[in-house]
Amino acid sequence: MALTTTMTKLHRLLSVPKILQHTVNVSRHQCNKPPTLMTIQQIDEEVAKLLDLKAKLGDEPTPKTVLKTPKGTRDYMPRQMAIREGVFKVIVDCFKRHGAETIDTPVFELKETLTGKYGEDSKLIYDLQDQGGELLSLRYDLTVPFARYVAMNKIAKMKRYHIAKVYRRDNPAMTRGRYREFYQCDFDIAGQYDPMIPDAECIKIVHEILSGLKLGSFVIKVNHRLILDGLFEVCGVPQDKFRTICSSVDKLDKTFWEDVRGEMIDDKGLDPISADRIGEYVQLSGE
Amino acid sequence: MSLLKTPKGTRDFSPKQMAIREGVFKVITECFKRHGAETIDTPVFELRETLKGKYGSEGSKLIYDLEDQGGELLSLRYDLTVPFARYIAMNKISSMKRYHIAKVYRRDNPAMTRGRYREFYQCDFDIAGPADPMITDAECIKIVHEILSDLKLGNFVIKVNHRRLLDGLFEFCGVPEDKFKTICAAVDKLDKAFWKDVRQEMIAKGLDEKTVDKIGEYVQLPRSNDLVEKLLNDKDLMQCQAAKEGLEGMKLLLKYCDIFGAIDKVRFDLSLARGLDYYTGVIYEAVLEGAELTKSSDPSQEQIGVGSVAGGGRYDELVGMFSAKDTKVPCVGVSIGIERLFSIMEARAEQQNEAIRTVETEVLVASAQENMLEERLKLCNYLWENGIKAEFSYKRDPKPLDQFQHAEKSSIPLVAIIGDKELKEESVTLRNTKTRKEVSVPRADLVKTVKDMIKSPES
Repeated sequence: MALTTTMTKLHRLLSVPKILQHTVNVSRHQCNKPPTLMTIQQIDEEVAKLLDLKAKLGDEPTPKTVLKTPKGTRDYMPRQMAIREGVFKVIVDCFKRHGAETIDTPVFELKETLTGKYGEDSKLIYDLQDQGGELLSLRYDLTVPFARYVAMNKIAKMKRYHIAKVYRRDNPAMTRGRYREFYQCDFDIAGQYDPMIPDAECIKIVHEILSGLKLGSFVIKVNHRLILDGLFEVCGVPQDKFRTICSSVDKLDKTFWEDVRGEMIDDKGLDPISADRIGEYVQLSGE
Repeated sequence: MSLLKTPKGTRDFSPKQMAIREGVFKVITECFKRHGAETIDTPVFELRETLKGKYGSEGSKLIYDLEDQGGELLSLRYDLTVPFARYIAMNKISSMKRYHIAKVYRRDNPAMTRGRYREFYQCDFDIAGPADPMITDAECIKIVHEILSDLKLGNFVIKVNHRRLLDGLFEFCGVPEDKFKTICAAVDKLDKAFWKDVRQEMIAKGLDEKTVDKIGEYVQLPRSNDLVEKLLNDKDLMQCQAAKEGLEGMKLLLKYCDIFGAIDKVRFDLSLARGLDYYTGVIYEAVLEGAELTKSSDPSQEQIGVGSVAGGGRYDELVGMFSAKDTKVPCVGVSIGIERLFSIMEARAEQQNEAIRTVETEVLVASAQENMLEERLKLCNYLWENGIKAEFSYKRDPKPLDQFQHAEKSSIPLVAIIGDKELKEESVTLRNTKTRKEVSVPRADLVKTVKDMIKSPES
């Protein structure tokens, strides 16, 4: 009984940050996780232990059918739904305050529409069985369906939000709030405008939502892909290595510089002088 | 270049359709909440095993399977009822009043022009758990009554019948028990087919003519609530326990519907059968008047109209199919045919040329002068922080006319204009988009004035 109560509490704690992760999509140019996740990870470990204990109890009689949801998915109970509804309201209110409209797209797309959009991650796409007719796949994110929608309807500009579930055949770490079926909550501004105006509005939206959810202090890290490219060029990184060096730099929020430097030189073949020049810059921050 | 289309039988919802959808959902969820329901959500796919054997042979053919990519075998949900029963059994819940609005999937041959899709919303309200006879059943009917009335879709009728009564009737007419289900499915076609065709079908299914004609006598009786009383006086029929139980239940149900003020739309209909296997008691179906199906002998003929807009019934055995120890959790529920409601509302909006707003912006922050971008940003931010829905042009120096036209096109009721003059005076010029009247408002009063003007746009 006590176990169940603790579980529920922890679950409740977990529900909010999960949404929080997705709001990061709002400014999709960055992939840093909000700092609050550090404490969440500790909670996760506790939950994992408890789940483990619960599994060991194993007092379930064998039911007629296996009573479970598919791997990596979960039901939302009324209590979780109430939390979800509250979070959605804060987010949707913010999107509407900024004059956005919303759309919905089918949960599956032609397989062809998703092919070649996700690189390595394509293997995580859920395919539907060929039962005659078109070949279909479950959507992997909301961005490709949005691009398809904009192209198909020949839309020149649009400010839209879309809150819906997406599907990834990932190895789920449900205890860390990661699922095979999960919500994404995207806000995008499409169209040609003067520099940095819609970009700043996206950041403002993140600011409003995280403030609105009252999750404690947060920081919104910003950078510019062109600055990184320029930096790599100045530091003597060959152009064909920009992307891979970029993904090394991205690890700096959870790894020490020494390790990132090692990866650049040993795994990615960057010359140490270049790596050290990069190091001089990426260890700076604009506090 | 890949093909630019959505999969067969599916569609995107444009902002306009989403606005209509949001409005319909609001009416429905408010009704559910008024009746004290809570909501849950389940994954879009279930273990294939969970869905197996729940939908009869016809239904099972329409289930979308996911490809076996290693791991569990999965299928997309076909309705929300089986996942609900799985949820109840899995969490060992003994009573619950829940609603669930979500998409379901059927590999049907879609007739999209008639509002039928392969991906579509279902909107279910169910009461699980023991209750005295007909009370929860009547509440479900009341809910259909409230929702269809609130949506103002015109006149409608809620047909009701009882599975036990049908079983009793079949027994009484001499239908062998193993043919109950298939004969039931034949009866169900009576709303869109003539009796002579249904009769032929029954004979083809192996019933003798005498039995078929006896069924015909009953299912063709004029549909009315008085019929319940009449049948209760049918001594021969009353010999049959199932029929008696069904009729007595019906009588009680009609009484509660009367108390709930819903009886005006409720009509006892012996020919209502509803195909699904899992119903065990009361069944019902709501049909919009003027939208009832035109009967036809030609099965290939397209049916006109939208047909049923809500349906449901009692299913006392379904949860038990999942439970370990045959724990019975009786359930009754209703499913609102929300896609059909969307289609009707969309068609109506189209017809009446209704301007449906897809954004809720209240104020457009504009300027007629150059170099005012930063001032516009400041003002817009001020409005956001005060909870006012506001936007501004993403151009550094937008033309005044473009800004006003945007406000008109998007039906943004107010334009807040700033320029050197306003900055000096610490004021804002508020322009009413509709009347084009302008007033100067001190910065300090702006929020209050805007809120007042939004509330009563004519003043």
